Amino acid sequence: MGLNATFGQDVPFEKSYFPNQKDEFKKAKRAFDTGESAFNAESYYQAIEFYSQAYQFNSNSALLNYRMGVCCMKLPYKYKCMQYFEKAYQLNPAVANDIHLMLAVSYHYNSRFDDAIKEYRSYISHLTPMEMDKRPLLEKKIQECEFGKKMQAEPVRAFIDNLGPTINTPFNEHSPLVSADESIMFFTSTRENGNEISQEDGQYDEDIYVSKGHNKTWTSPTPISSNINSKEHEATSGISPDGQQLLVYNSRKGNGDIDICVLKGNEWSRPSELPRQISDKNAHESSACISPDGRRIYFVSDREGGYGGSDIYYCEKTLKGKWGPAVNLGPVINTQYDEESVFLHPDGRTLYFSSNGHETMGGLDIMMSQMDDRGQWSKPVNVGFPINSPDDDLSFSMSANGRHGYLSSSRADALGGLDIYRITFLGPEKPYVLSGEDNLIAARSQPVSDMVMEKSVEIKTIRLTIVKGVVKDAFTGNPISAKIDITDNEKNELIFTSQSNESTGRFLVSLPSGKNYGLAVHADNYLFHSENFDIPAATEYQEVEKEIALNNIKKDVKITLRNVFFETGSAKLKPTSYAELGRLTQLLNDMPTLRIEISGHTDNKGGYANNKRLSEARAKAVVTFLISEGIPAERLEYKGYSSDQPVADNKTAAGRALNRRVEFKVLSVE
Amino acid sequence: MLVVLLATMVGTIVHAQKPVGNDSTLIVAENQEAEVAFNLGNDFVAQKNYAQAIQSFSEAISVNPKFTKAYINRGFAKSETSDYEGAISDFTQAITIDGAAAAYYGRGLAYFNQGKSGDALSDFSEAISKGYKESKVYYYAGIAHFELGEYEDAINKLTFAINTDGNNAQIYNDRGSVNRMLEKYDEAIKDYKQAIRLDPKMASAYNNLGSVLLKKGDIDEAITQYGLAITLDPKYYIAYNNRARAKFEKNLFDDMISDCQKAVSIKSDYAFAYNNMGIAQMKKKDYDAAYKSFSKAIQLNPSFAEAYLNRGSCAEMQRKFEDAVADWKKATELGVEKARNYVAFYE
Repeated sequence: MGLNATFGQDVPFEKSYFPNQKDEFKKAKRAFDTGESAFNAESYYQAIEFYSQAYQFNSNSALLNYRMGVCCMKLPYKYKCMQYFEKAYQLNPAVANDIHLMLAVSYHYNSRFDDAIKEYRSYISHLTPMEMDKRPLLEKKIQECEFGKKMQAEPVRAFIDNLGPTINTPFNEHSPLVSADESIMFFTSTRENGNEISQEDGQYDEDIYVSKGHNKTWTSPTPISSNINSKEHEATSGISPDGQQLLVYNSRKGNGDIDICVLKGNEWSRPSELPRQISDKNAHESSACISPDGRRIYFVSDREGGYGGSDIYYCEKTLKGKWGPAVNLGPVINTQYDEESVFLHPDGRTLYFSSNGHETMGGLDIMMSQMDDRGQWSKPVNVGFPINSPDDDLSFSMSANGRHGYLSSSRADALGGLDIYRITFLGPEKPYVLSGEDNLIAARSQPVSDMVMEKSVEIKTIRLTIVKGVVKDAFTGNPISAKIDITDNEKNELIFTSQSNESTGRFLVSLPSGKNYGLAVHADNYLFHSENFDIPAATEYQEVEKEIALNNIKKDVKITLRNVFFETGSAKLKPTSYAELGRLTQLLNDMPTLRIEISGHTDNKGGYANNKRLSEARAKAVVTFLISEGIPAERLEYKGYSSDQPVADNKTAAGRALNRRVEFKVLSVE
Repeated sequence: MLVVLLATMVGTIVHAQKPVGNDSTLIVAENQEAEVAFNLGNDFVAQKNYAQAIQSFSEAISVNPKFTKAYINRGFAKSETSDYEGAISDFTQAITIDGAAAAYYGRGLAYFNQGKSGDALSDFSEAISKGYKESKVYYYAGIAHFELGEYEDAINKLTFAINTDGNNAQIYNDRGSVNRMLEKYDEAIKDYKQAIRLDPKMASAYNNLGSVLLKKGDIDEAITQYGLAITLDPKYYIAYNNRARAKFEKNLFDDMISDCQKAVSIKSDYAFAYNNMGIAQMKKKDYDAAYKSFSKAIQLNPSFAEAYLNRGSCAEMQRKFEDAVADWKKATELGVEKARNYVAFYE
């Protein structure tokens, strides 16, 4: 420090205070004045650089401390502003009219909630009649502090970890999008990218980067593709659960819109515009996500007609596959303040978003709401501390198994600006089990044991099945781009369609528990393949890996119809079979020269003769159905093989289930 | 300790039949030689020379195989040497000969010492029905009921014992324990306090009183009572461990660790104290130390389900999720059902 001053005395940048340091003073004063110009131009990043130079010479200027506090508050270093405001106030309690407000806000950001409340109240008590319109917002801030105290007293059991220098840099990293199985992450960064740095906030333009999940860590990121990144801002906005579609924010047009990019093989397509009801040219759309069944897109927009600030909307796909009109999610979700960063869990009914209108501990906090069977959203609840902080917490996403979450936030351990954090959820509190004993009975030398046991906790686990895998050519093993239809067998209704990646053949679909699903895989020039997933409502989270080999349409190829079901011990078809039989009918209609044999197979239980009769009757029932759908009888044969052709071991229940089946075999193609 | 307690409560010598010739109602010996041997046996019992006593009673029996009293006294002598099977055989022989109430009582006591509460209770009940109504038979019948989980019956028998012998601290202590199992904590406290009044040096009564106070949530008074128990018996490791449990409720984790360390310094294989020490260390977020303590508890008692449960929770906080799941699975195998839920979250 370059002055002879007692600690605690305000030392303005005036020549008279530095009689023996003329040259040093001149240099520092120039830095201070340049900082002032930048500050007045709201170029806070530039301002703080010059202020910092001046601060090295004279750190006891109340005004400089105040200014540096304001710069920190405007930049993503809010938690740092407290040290400057405290010092400014200490040096000169009248340094600025709003010093109590600044102190309050800085205490708030640093979770010193009682101090913040005191300063907010002090500021309110000094409001003039003309300033009384500020009071409601200040009262809201006090409520946030009270709520913050409550949240801190009952922390959520989770580890919050900065993803570290592999992912984060001194620049902003935000909006992480993680595939349902955490195999890939897309995120936005304003790191150095060869373009020009902004003097306003000291950041480069936003680009999108990709990192792969490997052994529970993330690989060094690479820019996504020149098809997407440009000299404008491109930011991650949403990802489909299978990682094949990316929603991208770009600032090129209007006020900022959402585009969609599709992964074709290993290359992302150029962004294409979403329709106007989503990307409104007169509004700012910042975030979006697509539901696991692909039928809804949720997005954030500040368009007119909302409840205030930015709101969450959705559009639903029409029967023609187009996006329908935008619908506001309504006042249960949206408030007069901002709702941002929408994310729908792969279970399709749990919505996470950031809001500063619901009960928060400061800034935007992450909220959770669940949709009931009638499509109504529950009152959003704050996901709690330490996931939320007094500053903005944004871009929450969660892995399908519920073990990890990701968010962007600026915290004390950030490498700079916004950083990406991973949340590791620990599940419910595990009560300690103390042990003790007493000499209850004097006649017994051996003490009677007396354990002190806590009551059991209920775990709410996610009830979801992730089916992922690869579609290949059965002969060459080459990956195939195939269409994957998911059908609700009970309702005989197509729920959604997915597509395997054309270069890897990989696919991922998420199936909420409580339905009997048919999964049918189709590709041109191949016979379709079907799988059945009967998932009872109580089934917990599970991942199923499937390698699906598609056969070319040629003589003698056999396909198992996994979604054909009969009444027990009978040849009566269950209605749950109709979707599968509809696919077979379609195949026969598409290939009018195709002749097939339908075969029935049983396990080895119940007697060979009976099984022979039953398997034949079942094969015949399928043929009868196909004839009723207009397929000429001469193209169809049927046969019952009883237990003669097992495909699995009859010694196990699982093996017997696989052996009870209906197949079709290609007899001739031409 | 058991032998001492039995000597105090039951008094083997008291139950030995009186020497022949001192009581006109006694069976007149058919064989003088048998009677002499029997009397000699009783003299050896008085001297606590049970081996010689058994030899003398055996001589009496060999001369007179129908000598019921010799069987009974040999049975008691065998009980004193912990030969309960031999004792039961002798008492059964006496019962076969003339169904003596004392033989039922003696056999009941042998079963009791073998931990066969059901058989013991059956014999005690038979003894009572045959007119054997001394305080001690009600006492042991009460304890047998207690051990069979028949707490109301236990209270009735112990109350009868108290009505017969109102100055016995041990009976009050044990009725206090039955009341505790019935969650009648105020009644239990009264009984323990009465036991302490009758025997102010009965450390276990202070400890038991502390544990009931702990259940009632009177933590400070519980700590005081455990402290009194420790003052009376500085080697009372159970009381140290219990005081640690009470200190957990007061968040006195350093004190808790200190008490657990004291307990294991007295009894180095005391797994409970290592488990509780681990919990205190976890509370202090010293997870490495806690993990070691739980591991020590498991090493000492490989079937200690709760220690596995706690070590799993510790491993979770250390981010050793696979270790945590392995421990919770082990706890599940050992019967802690809630551990299954813990596992479910990670699988």
